[in-house]
Parts: sequence; C-alpha cells; structure tokens
Amino acid sequence: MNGAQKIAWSCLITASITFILSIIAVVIFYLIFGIPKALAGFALMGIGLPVGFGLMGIGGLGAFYKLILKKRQGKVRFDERDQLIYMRAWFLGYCASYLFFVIVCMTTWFIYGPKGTVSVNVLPLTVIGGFMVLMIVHSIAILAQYGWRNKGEKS
Amino acid sequence: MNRYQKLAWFNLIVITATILITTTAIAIELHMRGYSTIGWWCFPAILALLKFKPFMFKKPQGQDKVICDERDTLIVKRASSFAYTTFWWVFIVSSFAVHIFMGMGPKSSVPTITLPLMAVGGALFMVIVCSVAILVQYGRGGKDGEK
Repeated sequence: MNGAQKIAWSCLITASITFILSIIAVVIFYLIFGIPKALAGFALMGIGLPVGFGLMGIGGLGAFYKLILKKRQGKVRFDERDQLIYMRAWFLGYCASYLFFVIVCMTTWFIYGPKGTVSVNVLPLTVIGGFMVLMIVHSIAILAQYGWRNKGEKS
Repeated sequence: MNRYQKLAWFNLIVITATILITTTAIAIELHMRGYSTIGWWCFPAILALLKFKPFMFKKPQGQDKVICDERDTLIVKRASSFAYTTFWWVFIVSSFAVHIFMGMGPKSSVPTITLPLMAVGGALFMVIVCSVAILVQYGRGGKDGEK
C-alpha cells in the first residue's frame, strides 16, 4: 500500500469515526435536552473533521503527514500515474462537493419557501459538509483507482 | 484559435452580456415602477444561450480530424480544477464573512432566496474562472493550437 492509499484510508476512517461520534452525541443530547440543543452534537463534526484531516497534512499539519509518508533515499514517491490519479480524484471530489452544495441550497429553499429565512449558521455548516464530501469522495476515488489493496507501489 | 478557446470566449461574452443587460433592465424598471420582476426571466433567458454551444461550435467530423490532444485535455483539466478550487475558497471566505458580520445569535438569519442565488452565482463564477484559465493557458489569442 503506497502513501496516497494510506492517507485515503486514514481520511475515510477519520470521517467515519467523527460521523458516528456526532450521531451518538446528537442522540444523547436529544434524550437529555430535546431537539434544538441536540443538534449541537453535530458541532463535533466541525471540530473533529478539520482536526482529523489536519493530521493527514491536508489541513496544514505537515509534521503528521511526514509520519505517514516516510521519505526514503533514492525512491520515487510520486510519478505521472500518481499525479493523474490524484488529479482525477480531486476533480471527482470537487464535482461531488459542488453537487452537495447545490442540493443543500435548493432543498433549504424548497423547505422554507422563497419568503422564509434561515440561520446564518447554515452557511459555515454547508462549507463543513462540502469539505467532508470533498475529502470522502477524493479518498474513495484514490482507493478505487489504485485498486483498494496492495496493488499500488509502496512508499 | 481552437475550439476550446472559442468556447471560452463565448462563455465570457454571454455571461458578461447577461449580467450587464439584466442589471440595466432591473435598474430601468426600478426607476420607472419602483419594483422589478424583469430579472426573473431576463437573466435565465439570456443565459440559455450557453446551451447553444454544441450547435454553434460543432466537433469536427471524420476519422482524420483530431478534436483535442493530450495538451488540450491537460489544459481543460487544469482550468476546471483551478475553477473549483477558486470557487471553494471564495465560498468559504464569504460564508464565514457573512457569519462573522451578521453575528451568531438566533436572530441572525438570511433570506432563503440567498441560497439558490449562491448556487447559480457559484456556477457562473466557476464558468468564468475556467474560461479565463483556458484562455490564459493557451495565450489568449490564436498563437498556438490553431485548428
């Protein structure tokens, strides 16, 4: 399994754990406080995802990135094929995240009506959701192109 | 000037014309009647011209005709990727800017019409950035890639 596959797996695992923890938090808050306050459980995603993705170097914490992608002398870590796979994966991720953005916008509009109002919190939540979709689709696309298992080169 | 450059110029011209004509029409109607509804049909009507691209810029027919090579594909891919990235940065900054300026209280709200307008605006922004990126990579004119 090469470095890109490791990062993709870490990304998927982080996203899944954060999502499951958020759902558990929402259920617990719902049982204790009721529905408006229960939605605060989704704040875990807002905290967990940037931290989780940051650990993989995507959020900017390069030190952890180096732990996953160990540099080896004389070895080629990233060739044209990897570059093409990465480019395709980003493109798919961006398409999916834009689709998510459009669905959220139009669904909200249909639910609340043209004269309704929504909280400003919807905007940053849409950004976080879009980022989550982007990273998940990007990771799945990388794994699907490399073949999910150890067929890719080692790094 | 090759097909992608023509498409890029066409996108830019149609979107610029749409924005200018719609803004002018709304301003005139507002001045005359005090309210405006013209934007609801004028904007999509002019923008629908973008759907005529396949008929106006047909792909060359025949086995010996090359539509695009690896370089063209790379240019379009780079432009699309750049457009998506730029869109997300602008969206992130504007979303958090609205959130900060309007406050985080329960009374801070935006009209729902803002959301579909953001989706349409985002799509137009991406088309503009993608077209400009294509033209910049080809060198704006017909210097190379003549077809």
